Amino acid sequence: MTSTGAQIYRNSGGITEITGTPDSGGVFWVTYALSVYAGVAEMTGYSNFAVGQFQQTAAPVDPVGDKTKSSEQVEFEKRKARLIDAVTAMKSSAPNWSGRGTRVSEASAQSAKKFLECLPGNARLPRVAPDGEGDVMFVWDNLPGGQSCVVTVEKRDLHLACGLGTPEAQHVDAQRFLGLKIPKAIFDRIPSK
Amino acid sequence: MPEYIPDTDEVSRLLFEPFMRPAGRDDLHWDNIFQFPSDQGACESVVWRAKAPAMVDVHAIGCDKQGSDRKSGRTKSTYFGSITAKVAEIRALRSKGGISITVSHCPDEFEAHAHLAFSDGAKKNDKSELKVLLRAKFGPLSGHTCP
Repeated sequence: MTSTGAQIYRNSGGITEITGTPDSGGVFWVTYALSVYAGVAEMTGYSNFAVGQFQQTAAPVDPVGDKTKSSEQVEFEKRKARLIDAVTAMKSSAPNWSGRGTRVSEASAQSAKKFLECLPGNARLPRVAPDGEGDVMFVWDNLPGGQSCVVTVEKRDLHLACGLGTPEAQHVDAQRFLGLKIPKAIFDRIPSK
Repeated sequence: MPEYIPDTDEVSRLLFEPFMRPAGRDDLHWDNIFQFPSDQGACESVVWRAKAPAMVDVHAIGCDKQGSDRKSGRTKSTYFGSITAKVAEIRALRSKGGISITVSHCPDEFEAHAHLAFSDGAKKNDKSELKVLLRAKFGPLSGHTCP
């Protein structure tokens, strides 16, 4: 899986999501500017407050309707939307098996939603869980070969562990995530279809 | 007095209905049963089976906890069964970072009470890896409904 500049904004799962051009109402240029800003912010550690504000405008644009999408694409997007709803619900109450309530923090839920939005159409979609520390876990289990992988979203940091319990296990610790582009070290290891 | 829990023993995890479990199981949520909640000491309570050898003993502890939870205002606390694992298999787990899970006797609440915890120095990825691996070491549900 490779990362392109086009994947910085809300992906919908298919080729249409990377066709932003100057003809599409300037969305491409807004998004390009955001990506540059995000890159600078990642390097400098500046807040991405402004990016978040502008992204509200740029993200919903979807120039192609459901009629032109494959059924697989539509299913992918539906499941992604359900996962986002599940993450949102965890801010008020999340599953816990100890007879007590639990929840995830606003910041981690927000980043978790952005992470899902950034997943491209060829990614496998994970299952979601609260991690018990106010953060969000995305789990891919039962991967081919019995492998599993987990991304933990801790406020604005992403952590990835793959090949769990095997000699080939990999950890990528604390990668800054500003909501627009999944850090390459993690993006490259996200299970794909 | 706390005792050493031998590798040859087993421990059981009591399970309580999640408050927000969707109607029926869904394919969106991963059942993160062992959360090691940071606001509760970053450990998980289990039942040391040497002190509660029969499953009926485990269920009795689960129902006692349900009763005490409800008395203390946690009215939705509902025990529905337990899962069991071998202590040796839990202690053998290692994260990529070399972190393991300790199993220790904590007879503060009841005689069979034990704690699972991470060894020192666990980072976020170590914890997440071990949470996933630990879940796989526990067997199927032994269901129960309290009277």
